[in-house]
Amino acid sequence: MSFAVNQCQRCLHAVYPARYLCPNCQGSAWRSIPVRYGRLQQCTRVPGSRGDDAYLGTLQTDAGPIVVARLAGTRHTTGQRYALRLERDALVAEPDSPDP
Amino acid sequence: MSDAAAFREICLLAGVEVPYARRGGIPTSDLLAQAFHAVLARAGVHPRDVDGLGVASFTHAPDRAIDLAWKLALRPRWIMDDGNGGASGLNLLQHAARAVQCGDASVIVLLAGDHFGADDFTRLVENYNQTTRDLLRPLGAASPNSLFAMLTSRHMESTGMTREDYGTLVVTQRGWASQNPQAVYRSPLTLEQYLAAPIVSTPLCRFDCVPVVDGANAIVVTRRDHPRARAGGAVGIKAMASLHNVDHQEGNGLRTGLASVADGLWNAAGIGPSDVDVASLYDDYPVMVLVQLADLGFFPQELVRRYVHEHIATRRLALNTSGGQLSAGQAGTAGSLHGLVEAMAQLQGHAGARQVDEARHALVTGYGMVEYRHGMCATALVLHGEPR
Repeated sequence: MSFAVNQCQRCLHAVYPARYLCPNCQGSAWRSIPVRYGRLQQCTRVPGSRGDDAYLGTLQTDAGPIVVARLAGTRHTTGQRYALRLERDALVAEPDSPDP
Repeated sequence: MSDAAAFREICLLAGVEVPYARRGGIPTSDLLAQAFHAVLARAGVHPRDVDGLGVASFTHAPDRAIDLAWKLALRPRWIMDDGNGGASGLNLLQHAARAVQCGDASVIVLLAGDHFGADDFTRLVENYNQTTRDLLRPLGAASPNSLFAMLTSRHMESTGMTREDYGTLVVTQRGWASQNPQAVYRSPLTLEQYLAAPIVSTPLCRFDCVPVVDGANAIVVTRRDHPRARAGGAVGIKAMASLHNVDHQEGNGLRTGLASVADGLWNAAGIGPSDVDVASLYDDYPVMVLVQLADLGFFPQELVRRYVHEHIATRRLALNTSGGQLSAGQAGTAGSLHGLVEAMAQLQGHAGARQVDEARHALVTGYGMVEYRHGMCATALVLHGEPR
């Protein structure tokens, strides 16, 4: 499922998560805009009890908002572009050009 | 910005901490009641003279402040609940000081405490707010630890800080804790042990994350002309300032609202960072201690490593002298009064083995309430004690 953020119709400032008033201009009318990609800023590995480590990342999206996502896979590089999708209510980011 | 002159009429008579305990079996309401009795005993005030009650707690539900007032046989003229986590204690104080100043109440007791049952803490973390419940919880493993792990990485990138540097702060606080018989974790900690500790969420290890405990704290707020205050030893408020949601969660979390209010705070207090004898910085994570110190002008952010080694490790700044929440434990919202109670102990001269000589001025901060990526609430308080 594709991922979308809210954009203020008055000043075009995009926000995520959604809120009532725009923090930039206090506008209250929004449109939903799709966001396909983000660039990984920081990554953290959460060790699992059975070696099933989880990876979370902070990503700068093309639309503006910085988002927190679960990272698919185990090899992650900051600065790399990731594809964003919603998977059972979870924002998942997958390396756009995974290493061979 | 608060008018410093107005605070001259207000004072804090006493502060106490009901000893923190890991997996304590005492319900929240009982902990708060214990804190109430202990603080009145220390203040020398009778319960019938209390006409204001403020309560901060995550786990007091289904009760609220008025239910506790009933259990304590109080008839308060002023009452308030605050659930704003790490900032709740100072938030309550900001309101209580004005209530006392304006005559709405004359003696206010502020309580903060929590007891976490088997699933309480997990439930709290997963349902901290709507954003956490709907957006972070589905990610799995997206606890505050992971969010502050990534914030710490940003701090490392912008300042050159290393795990050894954060570890130096943690080890130093543990050193203070070893002089505090009420700290839950008191055994000495070496940098080697810190670096070898299990990783919770890279780059944070177990010692970077506050241990969850049960406990409660309390203070008494009244007027300077109260007979117990005239008897001496009360702690005065020099200045207080708050600024919340400063960046709408759109910044990097390395700057809190304190940066915006620092100049006004120090101007109102009539002192500066170099005059602070004791500092209680809200320490949910080591990085936030350093961010708040930089925000308040103790050092330029780029010199943070130097400050850690030259001022914190050497105790030139008496920082988090209880051991902070990192070693004394975080008893939920009690943590929002923990640093204030420690600062009062130092200013009133009953800090025991960890007593700072001639402590006259103290700084206390509150921080917390993570929305999506970092905390939103930021508040700071400058106190002064009487010469002893």
